[in-house]
Amino acid sequence: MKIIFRGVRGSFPVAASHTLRYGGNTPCIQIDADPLAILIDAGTGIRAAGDDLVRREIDDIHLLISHTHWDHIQGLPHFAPLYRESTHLHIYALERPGRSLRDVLRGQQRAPFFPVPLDEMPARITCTELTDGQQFVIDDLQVTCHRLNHPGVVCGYRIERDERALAYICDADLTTSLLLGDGMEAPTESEERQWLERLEKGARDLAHRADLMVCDTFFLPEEYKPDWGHSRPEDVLRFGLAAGVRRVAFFHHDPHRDDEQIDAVLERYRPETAKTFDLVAAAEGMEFSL
Amino acid sequence: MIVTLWGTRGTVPTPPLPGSPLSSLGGNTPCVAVDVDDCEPLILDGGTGLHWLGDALLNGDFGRGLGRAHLLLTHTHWDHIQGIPFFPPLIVPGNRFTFYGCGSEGRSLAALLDDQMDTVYCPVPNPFSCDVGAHVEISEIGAESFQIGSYQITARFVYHRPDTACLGYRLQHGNAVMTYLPDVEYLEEAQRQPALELARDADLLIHDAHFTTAEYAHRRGQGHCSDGDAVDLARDAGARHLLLFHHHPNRKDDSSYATVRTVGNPIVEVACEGARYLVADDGVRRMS
Repeated sequence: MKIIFRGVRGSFPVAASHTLRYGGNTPCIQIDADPLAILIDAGTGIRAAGDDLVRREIDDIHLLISHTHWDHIQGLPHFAPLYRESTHLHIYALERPGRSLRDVLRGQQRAPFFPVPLDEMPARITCTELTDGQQFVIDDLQVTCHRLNHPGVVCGYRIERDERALAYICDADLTTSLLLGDGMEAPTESEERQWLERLEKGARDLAHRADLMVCDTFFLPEEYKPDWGHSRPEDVLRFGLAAGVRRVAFFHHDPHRDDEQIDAVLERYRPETAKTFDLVAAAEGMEFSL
Repeated sequence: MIVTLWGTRGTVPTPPLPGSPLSSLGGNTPCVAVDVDDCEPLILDGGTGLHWLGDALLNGDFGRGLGRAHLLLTHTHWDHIQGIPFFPPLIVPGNRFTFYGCGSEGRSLAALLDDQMDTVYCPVPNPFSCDVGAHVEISEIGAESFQIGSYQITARFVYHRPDTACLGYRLQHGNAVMTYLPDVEYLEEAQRQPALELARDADLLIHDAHFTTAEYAHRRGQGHCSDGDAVDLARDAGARHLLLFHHHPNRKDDSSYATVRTVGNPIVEVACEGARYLVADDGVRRMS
């Protein structure tokens, strides 16, 4: 598996001088598994992935969406393969009570918000809704989906081939307080504890001995807000250590976090992780071969 | 009037690709601030440039909940409203904002702005339908003239897309006039009339130049015009200073706009993010 970071920024795209090295596009990761491609999330980074896939005439494309907040879907209307009849885009996301995935994506492309409706795009688009814990196969890749601790409906993914695994855990709060998402009923303390245990186990299963774990580190410790559903570097490192991962990539950087601050975050946390795993901060264009 | 360009890019924000410099045109979607001494700020459109304008505003009254501003929206395509959920002064209680613009497809502007904040898409507090953050008023307007403080404003419908109502604006303060037409196409002569009216003898005209003249030959009907169309409109309206605006996402710099190398009337410049202009009845001067 070849993995390329196409967008690493959280919240909204940043076109500014302070983010030139790490990049300002919102989340998208491209996984080349010729003759098909897998993408995770459809932030504005998906535009560069799309140009690459069109150039290489890759028509069988599978898009795994973590959740439908703007920064994770806003690139889809600008994804060049959707303007080609030869493309078959398979889109996956965790099921949501009361609203289908296709309906949510249609909402982004209806008038008067966008001029090209989803259903009128030339490509063939198939939407698949997943259940918490579902496993499925894309060609010779094994994909697992688990719900994450975040308000709304969010899932993470594990993608495996030839005993190599990528874990994508974004957006998630990996501390120990439960954030009730849509459809999560927990009227008693014991039910709340059950939910938290289930979410924690799900995230651990995704990360277990992964070769690369990509994790949301939107917050620095001094910025942490308990109800937003994002993590700090130490949460991710503690979690990665327990899961026995080989490499951790900090991801979903705050729009205001400048390149030097991200360098400083790495310097601050690398010494304590040096003996256990490799630590990087995801940057646009960064590639890994698993 | 001091006019500051916070976002000039059309369609989608364009952070540079790895290893590329920041485009001299800028990468944020449309947002233009207009300031005078005797009135609260006017803000034209709410693309991603609005976030960075909002950060700057927090240093003044807007950081203390004492700010008041007026946002004039041309239409509700994402690139013109996507900065609104991320406009920091909007979540500061005490600030007051009035949004002007038109609904479309049978939905009011208020409903459309609320749609963007739907929790399925957007996790931030929603001052459009909840009692949080700033006080928000929505003024649904059409083709009409009205006053905001010391400004005389004229709005007219211009043609952009058949399923999306789109306004252009003329702002007059004293004898200084600026006109804002970021998204417009002239498929027939009659469609130029509202634009000509708005731009008549304007000191500054900010105009859609999504395509170059050569590109437009293959892009007719997409809702945008070329730099050549913009110059023709400016000349026919008697506008003195033209800024080419709403740059195509793939446009790296001004080199493909042939019209910026012409001499005479109107003065043609390319709109660059961060530029500031002093607009007065004796001309337009670039300040930074």
